[in-house]
Amino acid sequence: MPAFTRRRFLRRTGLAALAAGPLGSMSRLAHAGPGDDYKALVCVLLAGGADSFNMLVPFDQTRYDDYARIRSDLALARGTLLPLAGTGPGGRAFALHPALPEIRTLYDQGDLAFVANVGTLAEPTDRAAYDAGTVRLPLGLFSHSDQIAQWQTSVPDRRIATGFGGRVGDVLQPSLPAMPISMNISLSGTNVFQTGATVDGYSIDAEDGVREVGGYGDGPDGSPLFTDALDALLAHGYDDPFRRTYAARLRNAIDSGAAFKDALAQADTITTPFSAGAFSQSLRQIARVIGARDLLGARRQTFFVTFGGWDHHDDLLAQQAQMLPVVSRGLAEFRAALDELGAFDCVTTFTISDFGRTLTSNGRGSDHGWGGHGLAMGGAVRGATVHGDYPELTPDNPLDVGRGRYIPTTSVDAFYADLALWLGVEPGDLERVLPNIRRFYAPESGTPPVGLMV
Amino acid sequence: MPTHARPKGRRRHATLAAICLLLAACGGGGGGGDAPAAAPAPAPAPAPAQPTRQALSEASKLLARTTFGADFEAIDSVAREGAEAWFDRQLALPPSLHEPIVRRYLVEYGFDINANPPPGTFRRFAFWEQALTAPDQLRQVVAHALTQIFVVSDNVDALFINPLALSSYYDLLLTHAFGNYRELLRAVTLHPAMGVYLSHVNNARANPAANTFPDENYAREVMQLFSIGLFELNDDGSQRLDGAGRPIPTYDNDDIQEFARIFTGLSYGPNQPGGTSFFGNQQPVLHVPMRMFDDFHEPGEKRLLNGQVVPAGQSGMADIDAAIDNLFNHPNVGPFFGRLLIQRLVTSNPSPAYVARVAAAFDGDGAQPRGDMVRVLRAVLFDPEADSGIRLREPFLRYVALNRSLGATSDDGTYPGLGYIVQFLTQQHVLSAPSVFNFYAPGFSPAGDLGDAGLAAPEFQITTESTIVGMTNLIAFALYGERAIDTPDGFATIRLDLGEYEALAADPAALLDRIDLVFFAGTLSAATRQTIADAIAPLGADAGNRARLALYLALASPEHAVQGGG
Repeated sequence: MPAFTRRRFLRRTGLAALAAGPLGSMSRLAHAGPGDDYKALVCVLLAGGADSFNMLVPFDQTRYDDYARIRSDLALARGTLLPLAGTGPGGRAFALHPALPEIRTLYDQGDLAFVANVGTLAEPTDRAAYDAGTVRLPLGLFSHSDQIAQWQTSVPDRRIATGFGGRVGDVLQPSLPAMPISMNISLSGTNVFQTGATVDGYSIDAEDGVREVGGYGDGPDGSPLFTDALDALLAHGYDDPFRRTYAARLRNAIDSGAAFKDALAQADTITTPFSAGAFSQSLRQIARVIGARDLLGARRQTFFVTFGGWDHHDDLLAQQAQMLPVVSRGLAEFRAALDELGAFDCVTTFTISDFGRTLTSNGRGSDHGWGGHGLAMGGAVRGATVHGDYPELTPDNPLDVGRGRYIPTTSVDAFYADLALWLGVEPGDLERVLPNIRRFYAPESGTPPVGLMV
Repeated sequence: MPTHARPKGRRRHATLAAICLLLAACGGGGGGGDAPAAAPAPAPAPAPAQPTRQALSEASKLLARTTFGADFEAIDSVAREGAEAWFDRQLALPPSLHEPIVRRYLVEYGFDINANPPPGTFRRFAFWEQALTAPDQLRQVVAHALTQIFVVSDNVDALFINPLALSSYYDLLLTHAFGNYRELLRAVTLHPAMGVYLSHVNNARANPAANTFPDENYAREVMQLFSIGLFELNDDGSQRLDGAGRPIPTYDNDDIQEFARIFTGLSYGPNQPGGTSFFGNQQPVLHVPMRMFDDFHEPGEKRLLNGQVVPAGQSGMADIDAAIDNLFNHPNVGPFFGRLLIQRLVTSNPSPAYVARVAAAFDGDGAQPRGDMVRVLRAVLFDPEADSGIRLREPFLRYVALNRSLGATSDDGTYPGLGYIVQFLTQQHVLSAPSVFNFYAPGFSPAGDLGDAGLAAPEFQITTESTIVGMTNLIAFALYGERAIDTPDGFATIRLDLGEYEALAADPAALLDRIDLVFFAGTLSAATRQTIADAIAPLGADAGNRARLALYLALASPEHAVQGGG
């Protein structure tokens, strides 16, 4: 990378002072050395509403029978399930979908845990209040567009433009060393999860990683004419906010892209093999960035990756059998890469999804539900545990508001509070990150609400 | 996405080289074919007078919204003819359909659709051929806009592998683009591509013994996305509020369960006249309307919106027609659908008055039928506010327009575009959205200047650090690469024809005048103009490089990335 690109970037972002002296290496930006404090959250969005009641299944005979009854033609045969070591709350046993062998190993090793029946709640909600209409409910309950957004914003009673990861950035970034790129990095484009009031997401490509404008620096015709002219075009003051926004975005993409690519090029290569396919390749790119954490001067980061196609109104069994191995394999590969980087203890990976799905079948699949199960993986996760309350799948369970749509027993707010506190958000700042948290948890209580993290 | 390789060393043209490798990886089999004759546009009688600069600019602005891209000749022609006359002539043109092109390729390469699956990419060939050559550009553009409202996508395997599925779906949108919204909604509902995408094909009545219920997918999205939206609207598109100042939901989950019962009993239609099919267990036929199997349709009474009740015992199709009418006559459709169309065709932020005028056109009156698409389109495109409309260009259409404006021409007359490169670099290709929620949300507003001003800018949702660089590189790919549009190996090569610009290159002022007219509708700022002039000045007499660099800078500029507002 030509040095002038870096110099231009530093001048523009006002970071030149931090890098006083020869501009030899991006590591001059890094104030954190190896072994210093680093933590990251990796949010995996299973877009479409994954049928997680077929991922984590009750295994003791009585409860399996309840499961099989309500799921009818969607029930997985008990003999095909992968039983998990130990028992969950209340002496209950659980098993995994047969396509999740790596996740089963991770769980049994204590590297991974589940959070049962978690979902969007505007405030604590029981069946009586739900029926009576005396409780605030998430807007657009059971609808993709609202629920997928609310899982990212954790503010289900309003439509707001900032998400959990973005607000974490707003709170933490001011006290962190300056970085050439946002602390929030997306492998799946723009998302509300990583959008804050001051911190925005930065997108890289699952296959290309960081993209650079072809010919920038040396010109498509070998001359500096293009570079200088593009710089000038991006520096014009534009009256309308559309062009202003576009110019700023391209400028930022060019500058931070160059700096980012520099850091990645200097970082050690990862030898852990990853499968082909967007999900594993996205995790590989995340691992590469984590591998460059010291060069980037990163102390806290969030990553966001979407794996879509889980809206299984039909063909549920066949589709899950095809898609779940991708998740299982990808997480195991990512775990191995983090081990290689010595970062497994400081990276927590978790899944979210629009909603759980109806336990009852439509004859070929399931429809939009409410509560579902998430998982969390990492050295800091209290693993080999099913956290939260897995509902009884009996016909008379009052949590069932129809067709096996379960009122969540753990709120997204509570789930995220555990993650935020682990990442280093002070209890006193928790309400800035999770505006509704007090409805579920007293931040000053000293004990995280779910107990997910060690 | 196709697999692709990247070169190890980074040298000049590294990105272009990567793109060219990507091209090789996209290759398919087969050789070139007979050229289809592109139907010539009926030529208007040219007016004798030279059009004024003003008339040319206005024509350019109109064509930027109503075609997939226009070159100087087309702009000049409309400037002579007048907007209204051109518009009327466009309305009269028959649709240039996609499915016949797919069938031409099926025959040419000997595929039997019933025996072995042909390449799904044939439907992409059909799009690119019609986008680049069809005379009924207005209809093609409106159909494209409708693909982003009534969304289906080849990200579902069944729709990717069968080229008849999405070509016939696009044809449905072409056919109804100038028809009536009610028939459009009905046809969308019955098309098997939608049946697959939103899973109401083979959706059976409830079976209490098996504890199964009707699928709710289509019932929800037909209301939320295709017709009435989530909240009750005033005619100007603003939300109606209840006594406590809260928005009023248009439906609840009980309504969805009722509509789910309506959309039961549909399965694939017969492949050919006299063919047989039966519910739930037949070969997917993805290009003829789904058929009702009354034995699998919910028999009982159903409650629709606004107190309407469908009696028990009707045929399934009568139920569906009643439900379509129920939605069609909901007062939300005019402002809801009208606003979506305005955003796709003109501006991201129409005023309430603009929405109200379009909604009124939708509603019709005693003399005019409700849902008349032509009336709605007229209202959308010729509204007084349309002139000052502004929006970020969609990357996909920005690329299509580049090709059309710069005379993209095939070396054998066929246009077997794959579109994998534009999709890889910008995350967008027609009928390839990631979900039924399209590539972006209508209300998306990026943080910063636009968000602070409360302005929607949907297209910014897919304009990330990665895709904005990808878009810029795509322009270079088309201008400097071996071909402008990716086609499989062994098929036609499509190249730009920059001769017109090279001919002007010796006179930078004339070159920039032409670029200004064709790509900026005459609104190019003095600053951008000067920047480009300075950049090309040192290139001296090298006409090819001068024209290319001028076009690259112009097309990559923030000023061109945004349409209107100049």
